[in-house]
Amino acid sequence: MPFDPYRVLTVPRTATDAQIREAYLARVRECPPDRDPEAFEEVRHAYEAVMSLERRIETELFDTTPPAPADLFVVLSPPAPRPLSFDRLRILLRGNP
Amino acid sequence: MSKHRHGGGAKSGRQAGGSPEERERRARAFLENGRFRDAIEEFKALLSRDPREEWKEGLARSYAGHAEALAEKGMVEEALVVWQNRSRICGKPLMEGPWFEWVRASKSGEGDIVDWVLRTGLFSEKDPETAKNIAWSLFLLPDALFARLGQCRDPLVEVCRQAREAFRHYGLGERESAEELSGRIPSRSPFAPVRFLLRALLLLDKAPDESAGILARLPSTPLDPVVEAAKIALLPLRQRFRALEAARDVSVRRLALELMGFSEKGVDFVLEILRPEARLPWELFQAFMRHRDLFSREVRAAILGRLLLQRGRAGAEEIPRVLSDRPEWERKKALAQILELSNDLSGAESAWKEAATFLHKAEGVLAGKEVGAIYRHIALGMVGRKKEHTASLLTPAQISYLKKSREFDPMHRETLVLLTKWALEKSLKDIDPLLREGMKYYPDDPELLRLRLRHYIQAQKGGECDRIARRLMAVDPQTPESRFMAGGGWNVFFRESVIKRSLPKAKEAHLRIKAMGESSQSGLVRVQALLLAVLEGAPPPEDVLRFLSEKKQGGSLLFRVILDLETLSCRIDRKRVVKTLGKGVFPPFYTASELLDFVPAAATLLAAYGQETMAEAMGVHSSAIAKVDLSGLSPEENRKVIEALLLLGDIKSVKSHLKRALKTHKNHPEFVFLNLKVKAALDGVLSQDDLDRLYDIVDVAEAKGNHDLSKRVDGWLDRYFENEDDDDEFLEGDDGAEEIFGGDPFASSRGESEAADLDRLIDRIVDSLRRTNNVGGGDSILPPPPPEVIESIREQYPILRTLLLNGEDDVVIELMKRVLPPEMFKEMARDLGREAMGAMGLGLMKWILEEGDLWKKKRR
Repeated sequence: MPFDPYRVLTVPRTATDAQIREAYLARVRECPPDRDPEAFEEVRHAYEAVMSLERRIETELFDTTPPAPADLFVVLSPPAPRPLSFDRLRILLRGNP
Repeated sequence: MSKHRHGGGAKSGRQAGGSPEERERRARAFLENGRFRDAIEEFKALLSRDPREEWKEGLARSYAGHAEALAEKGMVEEALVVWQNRSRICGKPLMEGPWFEWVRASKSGEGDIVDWVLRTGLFSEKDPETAKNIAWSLFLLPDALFARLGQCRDPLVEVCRQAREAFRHYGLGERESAEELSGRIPSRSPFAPVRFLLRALLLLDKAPDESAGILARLPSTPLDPVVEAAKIALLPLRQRFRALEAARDVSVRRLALELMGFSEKGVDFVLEILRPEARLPWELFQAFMRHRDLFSREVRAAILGRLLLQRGRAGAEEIPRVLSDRPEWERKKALAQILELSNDLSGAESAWKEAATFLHKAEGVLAGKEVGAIYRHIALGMVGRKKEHTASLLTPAQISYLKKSREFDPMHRETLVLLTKWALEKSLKDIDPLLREGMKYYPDDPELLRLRLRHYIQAQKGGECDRIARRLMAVDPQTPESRFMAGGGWNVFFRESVIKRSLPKAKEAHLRIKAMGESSQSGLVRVQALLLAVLEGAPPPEDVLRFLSEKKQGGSLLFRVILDLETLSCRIDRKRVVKTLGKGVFPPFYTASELLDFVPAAATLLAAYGQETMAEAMGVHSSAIAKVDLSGLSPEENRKVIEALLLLGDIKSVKSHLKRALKTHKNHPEFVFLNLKVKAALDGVLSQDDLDRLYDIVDVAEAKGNHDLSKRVDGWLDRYFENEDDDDEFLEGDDGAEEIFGGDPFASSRGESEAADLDRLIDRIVDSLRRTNNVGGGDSILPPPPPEVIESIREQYPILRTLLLNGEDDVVIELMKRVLPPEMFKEMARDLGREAMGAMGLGLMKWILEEGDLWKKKRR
C-alpha cells in the first residue's frame, strides 16, 4: 500500500467518496496498466485504501506499512517546479555544490 | 624529480643511463604503461642530449597523461600546473583539451581565459573546439571576472553576455524577458544550446512533453548536468526518486531537486535519504528526526508512528519524546501497534483500549467510527491473533468487543452481519435487536435478509418466512444462496399452511417454489404437488406418477422416504397419500442401486428431520428394504448400505442384509465386525469367542495393511470395554438429500433455549481446555492434530452440533470418534460417561479449531 494514498490520487484528505473515485479514474487514465503497470498498481492500491469512509479510517488507524525513503521524498515533493537561479547554476556546474 | 623518486629502485623499475635508443625504448614503455612521471624523466633526459621533435612530442604526451591522472584523483590544481609545464616546455597550446574543464572546476586560470579573450578575441579563434570551450568558460565566469570583459566588443562575447542575461532573467522568474533575450542568441553561435535549454526549462511545468522533446535534442555541452536534472524533474513523481539515485553525481541531484522546487533544507534531506544506508529503518528514522520540521504536524506524526514500529520494542521508549506534540490517543495507538507487532497481544489489547478511551474523550461522537474500528480491530484484526471470522467460533471476548464496537459504530455492516450470525447460532436471546437493526440500517441487504430468513426457518414461522423470502427474491433473485434460502422459507410456509389446512396459502408457497425452477427443488415441488392433491382429494399429478415409475433423481427410494418425511412434517395421514397414489405405485421391492443411491443422503436426512421422524418414515419401507438383493454390490458398497441403515435405526433390514452378506462374503472382516457390533448393541454383551474374532480381525487387517479397519475395530473395542451399552455405528452422509428436498437444513427437534444451553456448555469446555490444555482434567498435554484432521473437524462441527441438538448423542459420539484424533477421543472416553461425551467432544472440536492456527505456527 502506498504510504500516502491521498498524494498518489492527488486528492485532499477531506475528499468525499465521489471525489476520490473521480480522482482514481482520472489517474487510471493517466497511467493505464498497459503503459505504466507499476504506477497503475500504486494508484489501485491507493484507491483501495481510501475508497470509502470505513477504509479510510482503517488505513489511518491500522496501516503499519513503513515509509521507504521514496515515500518521504514523495510526501515532501513541492507541487510545482521552480526556476534555477543563474548563480546556483554556476556554483553547481563549477564543481562546488 | 625528487631524490626519493629517483631512488625508487625495484618499485619504480627504472634503470638510469643507457644508450639513447635504450632510453627511448624505456621512455615509450613507461608512457604505454601509464608510468608518466618516469616517462617524463626519460624524455627530458633524451631531449637534453638532442631536441628531437618526436621526443618533445613524447614528453608532451607524458605531461598530458600525468595531468589527466592527477585530475582523475581530484587533484585539479596540480593537473593544471602539469598542463602548464606541457605548454611551456613542449610548446603546446595551454587552452586546449581538458584544460577548460579543469579551469571551470578549480576556478584557477579563469583569469587567463579573460586575458586571452581580451588579447586575442574569441571570434577569431579558428579551432571550433577551443572556441566552444572558451565560450562555455566565459558563460560560467563569476560576474566580477566577466565584468573585466566590459569593454570587449568581440561578437561572441556579446552573445555570451546575452545568454547570461537570459538565464539570469529566467532564474528571477521573469519568463517573458528571459524568452526575449534567449531568442536573440544566434542559432549558429556556441551559445545556441543555452537558448534551447532555457526554452525547455520555461516549458517544464506548462508543457512537459514539449520540454522533454527539446531536452532530448540538445547536444552535449558543459550544461549536460542541467539537462539531466531537467529530465529527472520531468519524470512522474514516483520515478524521480529512482532517477535521482541513478544520477551521475551530487550536482545533478541538487540541480534536479532545486528545479523540482525543493527548499535548501528539503534538498539536504532528500540527498540524505538518497544514500543507500537510508534504507535501514534506523538510519531513515535518524534522518527524518533531523529534518522533521520540514513536515506538517499530521504528516510528521504519521511518519514517525510508522518509523517507530520498525524499531520494535525500543520504539515504545521513544514514543513520549518523538510524539510529544501529539494527542494522548495517538501515543497509545503507536504503543498498541508496536506491542501488536512484537506479538504482545495482551499489552496491545490494553493499549488499544486506552487509545479508544482517549480518542472518545477527546473527540466525542465525532470519533464514533474510529472508536468502533478500534474495538473491531481488537476483536478481529490484531496482527498475530487468529483471523477467526466464523461466527460460531468467536470467543466470548471477541463477541464482547464486537458489541462494544457497535455501541460506537452501530451501522458497521460487517459487524452487524457477524453478530447476527453468531446470535443465530449461539445466542438466540440476542437475535431480535440485531435483526431489527439490520432491517433498519440495511433493509434490502441480501445477506441480512438471508440471515433473517434463516432465523424464521429455524423458528418455523411460515408467515415471516414468506414475507422475507419475497423481499429477498425481489432484491437478489439470482444468487444461488438466496434462492436456496427463499425455497427453504417457502417450504416452511407450505408446511405451516398445510398444517393449518390453509390450502390457498400452501398452494401459493408451492407455486413460488415451482416458479423458481430450481432443479434442486424439483423433488420437493413434486412432493408438495402430490400432498396438495391428497388434501384436495384430487388424482396424483401426472409428472409425479411418471417420476415414480421412471425411478430417477437420486433413486425412487429416496424420493419416497422424503415423501413420507414431508407427509409426517405436514401432519397428513399417510394412508391418504397411499390411497391417492394407488397401491401399485409403491413397488413391493427396491433395487440394490436405489439403496446405494440413498446412502449418501442418510446423515443429512437424519440431521434435517431428526431420529424420531426418520425412524417413523423408514419403518414404512423397512420390509421392502430388507428384501433387496445386495449380492451384486461390492463388499465396500454392501457395507456402506448396511451402515447407512444402521445409522437410520432400521435394525430389521440391517440384520437381514448382514446375514446375507456373511453368506456371500464369507468371513469378510468388515461384515464380521458389523455383525458383532449389532450383536453388542442388541444383546448388550459379547462372548469371549466374539471378542477373539474381533482381535483376529485386527491382526489380519494389520497384516494386510488395512489400518483403517484395524483402527475402527480397536477404537470400538476400547469403547465397548469402557461402556458396555455401546451400540450403533454408522456413516457420515453428504448433501445428497438436498437434491430432493431443497431447503430445510435447519430443522431441529430441540428448542432454542436448549441450543443456547448447549453452546454455553461448549464454551465453558473450551475455556477450560484453553486454561489447562488437556482433556477432561487429566495431566496429559495433547499432541497437535494434523491439518487434515483440523479441516475435517471444521466441516463436521456444525453437523454434529445439529445432530446433538436432535438428541442423536450416540450418532454424534460415533462420528466424533472418526473425526477426532484417536488419542484425544480415547482420553475423553476414558474420563467421561456417554451422556457427557457429546458436548465434551464438541467442546474439544471447537477448541481444536480455535487452536488450529497456533499449532500450524508451532509446526512451522
